[in-house]
Amino acid sequence: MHGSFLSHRGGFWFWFALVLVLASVVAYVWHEPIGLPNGGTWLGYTLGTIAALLIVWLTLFGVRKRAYYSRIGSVKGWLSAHVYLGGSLLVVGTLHSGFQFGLNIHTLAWLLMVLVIVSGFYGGWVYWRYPNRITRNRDGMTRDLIFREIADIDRKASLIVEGLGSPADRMVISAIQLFQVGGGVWQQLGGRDRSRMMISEVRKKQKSWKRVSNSHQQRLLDELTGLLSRSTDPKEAALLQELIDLVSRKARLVKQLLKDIRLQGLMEIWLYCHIPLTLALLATLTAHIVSVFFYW
Amino acid sequence: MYVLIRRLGAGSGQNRSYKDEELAVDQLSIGRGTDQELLLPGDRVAYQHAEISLSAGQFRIRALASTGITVNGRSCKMAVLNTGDQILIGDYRLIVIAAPDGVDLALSLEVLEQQEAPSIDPAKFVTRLDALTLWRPRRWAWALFLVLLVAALLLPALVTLKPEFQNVLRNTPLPDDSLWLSGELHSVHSTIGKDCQACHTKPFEKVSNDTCVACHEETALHVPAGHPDAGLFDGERCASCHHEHNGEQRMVFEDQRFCADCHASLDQRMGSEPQVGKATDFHADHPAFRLSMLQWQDDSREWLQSPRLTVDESLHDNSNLKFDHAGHLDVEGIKNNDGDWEVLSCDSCHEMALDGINMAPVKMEQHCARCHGLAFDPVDPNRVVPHGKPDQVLANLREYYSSRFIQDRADAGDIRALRPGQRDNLSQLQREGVAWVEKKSQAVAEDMFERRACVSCHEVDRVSEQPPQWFVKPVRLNENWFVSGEFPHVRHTQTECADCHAANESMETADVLMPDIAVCQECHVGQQQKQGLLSGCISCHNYHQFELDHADLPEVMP
Repeated sequence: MHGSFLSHRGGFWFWFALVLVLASVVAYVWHEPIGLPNGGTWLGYTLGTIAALLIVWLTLFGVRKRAYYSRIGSVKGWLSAHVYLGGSLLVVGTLHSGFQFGLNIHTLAWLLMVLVIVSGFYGGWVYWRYPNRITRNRDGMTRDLIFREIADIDRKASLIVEGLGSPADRMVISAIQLFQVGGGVWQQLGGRDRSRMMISEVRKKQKSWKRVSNSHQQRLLDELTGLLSRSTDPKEAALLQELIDLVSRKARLVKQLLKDIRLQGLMEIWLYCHIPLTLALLATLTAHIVSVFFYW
Repeated sequence: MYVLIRRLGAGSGQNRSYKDEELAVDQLSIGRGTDQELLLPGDRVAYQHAEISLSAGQFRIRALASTGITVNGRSCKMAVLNTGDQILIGDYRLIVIAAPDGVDLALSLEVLEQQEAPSIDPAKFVTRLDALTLWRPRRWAWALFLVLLVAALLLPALVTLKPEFQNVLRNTPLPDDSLWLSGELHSVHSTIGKDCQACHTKPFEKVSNDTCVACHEETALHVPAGHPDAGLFDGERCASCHHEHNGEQRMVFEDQRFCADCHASLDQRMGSEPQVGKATDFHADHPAFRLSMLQWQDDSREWLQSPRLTVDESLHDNSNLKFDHAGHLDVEGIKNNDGDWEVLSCDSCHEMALDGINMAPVKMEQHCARCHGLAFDPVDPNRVVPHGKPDQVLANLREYYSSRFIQDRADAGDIRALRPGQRDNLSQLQREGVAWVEKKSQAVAEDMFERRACVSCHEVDRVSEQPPQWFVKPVRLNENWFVSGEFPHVRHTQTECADCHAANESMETADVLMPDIAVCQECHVGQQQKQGLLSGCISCHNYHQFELDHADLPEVMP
């Protein structure tokens, strides 16, 4: 049965979370503590206990989704509850603080909680929007296939330049060798094409080769077009034309590949914040609870 | 149309094996989808990659996949096919061959072998985040977890559990228990500094009253020690009302509900009869003021401060002074010693004490003497007796008239030179003088005490004859009207005295000039109200107070 985790069981967890949020807000407004609102009033302790239990339970989602044989609800149900109850935690946890903030681990725990929830919201959003965008961009292909398509173009181009000689051969082969995609986190998410190629340069009547950017194969296309315009041999021109054709296709594929890496990266990167921050929150939450009662 | 597909097999040239297949289709669909007429199962082929159709006698190939097709080495979306044309789709090559009879279109099909030539190596590129092992979320998650657990929990806890670590951690940038500080200390406690153990003596135990009392030993109780209901306060913590770690806020709770908790139902809570009425809100639920009065005891000649008394017609002020407020505040003024008319106001006599709470004592010399002179002899109008005890007044009179006697005789030439053996003459003169001085002094004193000076303001009793003696009852103005409340005059200077004290209508000393609670309520409202001068219990009352001890009154003024 296909359906979004957001509307699991008719949005049961949405309504559950909404009731929890509204109940907390109403209690907070209705409650007139002696002194200022604070985590130490009866309502403060109540909201704090609910929030702490929620945090522990939300963390257990990481365990449940790996427990493939577990029969405690479906993973989709858990995810639905995880998202909505996680959102409600933002309200419950903040009301527990009574809006008393300072430079201490108590506020650090609150801040980490907010960051985890915000990163989770981002995760929910990308899981909702990005699969579609990724599929549209791939246009029926897979990343592996795009790579093989590019490799195929490279092979064809390599064979063609054998009949062309310098400088076309050096430029085409260097563009293949200095092709660059992916890399570290920023390179994957940035989506910038850092491919390079070699071009010949005449300086002080000395011919030398230097590396230049070949973003989206544009420089190679420019160079090949230049060669084509100066070409007088029809056979050579036909080969160059074929080459330009291939490189244009490659440029389109590279663009598609870069976007695929970027979208995939953006869809996954939030987990790189969500999970470490969650464990940081667990440690800080422990310290928060222990310290509050340690120095009662 | 009829299409012949010739699948080329092994071998080359004339010897190459092949297998023919004929299809009758409207148009030839090509792709790796199983519904395609020409199935090319390679994964670089799209499900619907291209289609060949016949129109106007021409065969056209149209690309459906984004990767397109290559016809005769040129990638294109559409091409007209002629015999000999080569079509590349993925790793497949289709060649249009001459069509035999009965067939509209013939295509040879072969799988191309990959040729060795420079190309990119996909394995060389990192294109997935999870391939970056250094960044694996779980690795960072556990690292952060451990770092925070040590820094935020274990190290601060060491400070308390192991005193030898205390100075090391607190005096270095290493994390210590100041991370646990939920809020700044109130500035009155700033001298405690980082020494959390000054108050938090035992882990996981609430701060005990003993640690507070260790410094605040003078703090008074809410009920006197030995009060039959003192047990009601067992288990109450200082920290219930005094919340630390909120900076300058909330060191003292001002919320009236804190008091109303008990004072709404004292009669049910207390075993003994409550001395105060039910009170939960100054405006909505507060008993009328009761006043503690000064009471002069004629027998023991001492003052008593009464317990709280209900204010009604029968309640009289008793200061042993004869004073008519209205007369003194006459807008026409009153006549002073010099015969001038002087208009008095409240502050002519009542000045605020330095503590800003009560009025400073009224002094005869400073406030009364300008009009109420103590001159006693018309011959010498500048000469006055001191404003003191009757004995002093008499002694002063005697001294004055002695000197008068001597002066008078000297002026009359009665002073004779002393010669040896003439003591009798001196004794005679002395006896004469003593008798006159005593008679004159007593007469003047009697006049002052009983008819003219003292008696106009004081209660004077003649307590003996021959020689006559008087007792002037001491004057004292009440300063402790409210047993358990405090009225700081200094905070009410924007109101007129007469707004609260009806002095200009008071003809009698006995009039009680204290205002009714309604007067206070004109400005002060309880915290139940939404607007107005919100005043909780501790605006006037002090929690830490013994019941007033009557034996402990300050000394009686002269």
